[in-house]
Amino acid sequence: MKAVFFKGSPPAGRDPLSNRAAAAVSAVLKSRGWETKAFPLAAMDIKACRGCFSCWTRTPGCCVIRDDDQEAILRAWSGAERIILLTPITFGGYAPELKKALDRIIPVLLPFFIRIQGETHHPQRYPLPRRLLAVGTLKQEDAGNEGAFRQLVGRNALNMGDVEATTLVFSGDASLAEMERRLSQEPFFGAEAS
Amino acid sequence: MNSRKVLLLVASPRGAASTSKSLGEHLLAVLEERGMALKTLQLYPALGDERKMSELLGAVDLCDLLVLAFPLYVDQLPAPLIDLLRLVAERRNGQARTGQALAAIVNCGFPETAHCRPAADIVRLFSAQAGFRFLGCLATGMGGAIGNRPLGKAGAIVRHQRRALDRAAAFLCESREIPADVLALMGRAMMPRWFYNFVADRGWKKAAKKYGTANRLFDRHYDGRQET
Ligand SMILES: Cc1cc2nc3c(=O)[nH]c(=O)nc-3n(C[C@H](O)[C@H](O)[C@H](O)COP(=O)(O)O)c2cc1C
Repeated sequence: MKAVFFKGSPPAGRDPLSNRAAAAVSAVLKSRGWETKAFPLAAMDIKACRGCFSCWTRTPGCCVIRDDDQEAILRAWSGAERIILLTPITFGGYAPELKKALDRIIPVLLPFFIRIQGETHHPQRYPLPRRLLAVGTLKQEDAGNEGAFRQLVGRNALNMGDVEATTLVFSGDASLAEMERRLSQEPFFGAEAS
Repeated sequence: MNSRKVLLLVASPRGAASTSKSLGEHLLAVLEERGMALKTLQLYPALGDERKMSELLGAVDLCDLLVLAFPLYVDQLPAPLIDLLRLVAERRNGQARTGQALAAIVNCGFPETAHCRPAADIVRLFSAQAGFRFLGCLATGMGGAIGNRPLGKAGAIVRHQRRALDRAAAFLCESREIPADVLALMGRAMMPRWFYNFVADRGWKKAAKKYGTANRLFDRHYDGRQET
């Protein structure tokens, strides 16, 4: 079973808390036997979305920007049953390192409209029983930022086809062991390999 | 005469052809009538251009009112705008000019304005962190119905949005918060939802026909399940 891991930490060393959270997620994915494609986004060349919608009309399913690293992400997404978004919480939302990859993810959707929970959304181009885990980090506890982040993840889950979503927030000086323990309690990762 | 400076920052990759610009410019025109000094800058041409980016950052430092106009991307701000806001917050760390205010205009492609809520939270939290007084986020769904037309040429469908922007301007030029009823007016539907969705769906099909891709709209290029 496949997982795709969007590592939205800033460049190494700039945010040890976020890097620790990334290490914890990787460890739990490995221990539960997930075949994971992990993308260290800060180090990847991902250009800004041009907002042209060619990926829905002119070149359906493909982005017209071909000279960067995004295609590997689209390929991995198409077959993944678990999506993990990791980010330092930035004004209650995602850091640009993560967001630049998500802005270019819309080729995995179809242009048409469907109704989900009374709202308009797009159908999936690659329908699979997916689940979403969002891991946010905050240097200090902050209810306002955490609340906004949780709301946002909920909306993203609806836009991904009303997938089941789990949101975890680590703050302060949470240790690697503490994070791994917390993560491994999540049904998201499935049962422990025996 | 109100000599306060307003900076409209358009953060859509569609630039001059964007709905963000149409909405932002309508607001600006009213602020100009009220005597504010205007400047409009586009974010995307400044990406990777040191000179333009430093001009932009300088203009953010100098303005009295910053208006961010942007499209909703994946339920929030487009990545380059988040990047810019993070840079602005880092640069100002603890030493922001006092008295600066911020308002935002966001439009989204789905018919429901409610999709824009997280974006409004994000600009509010940014304002608090970077030392701007937050005056409100004017949000509207059905952005696709405006396209790149100036608001004045978009007809009766945008009457609520025009009125909301006109009314908002009166508060912004006095640096007062935009009241809830004006924000609600901005978010009023431009047309029945079924009609918007019908026209949008037809629009995708028409575009595909033009490109000769009408029977390829559901193509699956990648098969990530087979790959290791
Ligand atoms: C990458 C991308 C992501 C988008 N995500 C959303 C979304 O989450 N919700 C929504 O309602 N519209 C979404 N849209 C649609 C835009 O918000 C809409 O087309 C808007 O009118 C564009 O405004 P602009 O002309 O100012 O760029 C998205 C568009 C693009 C290109």
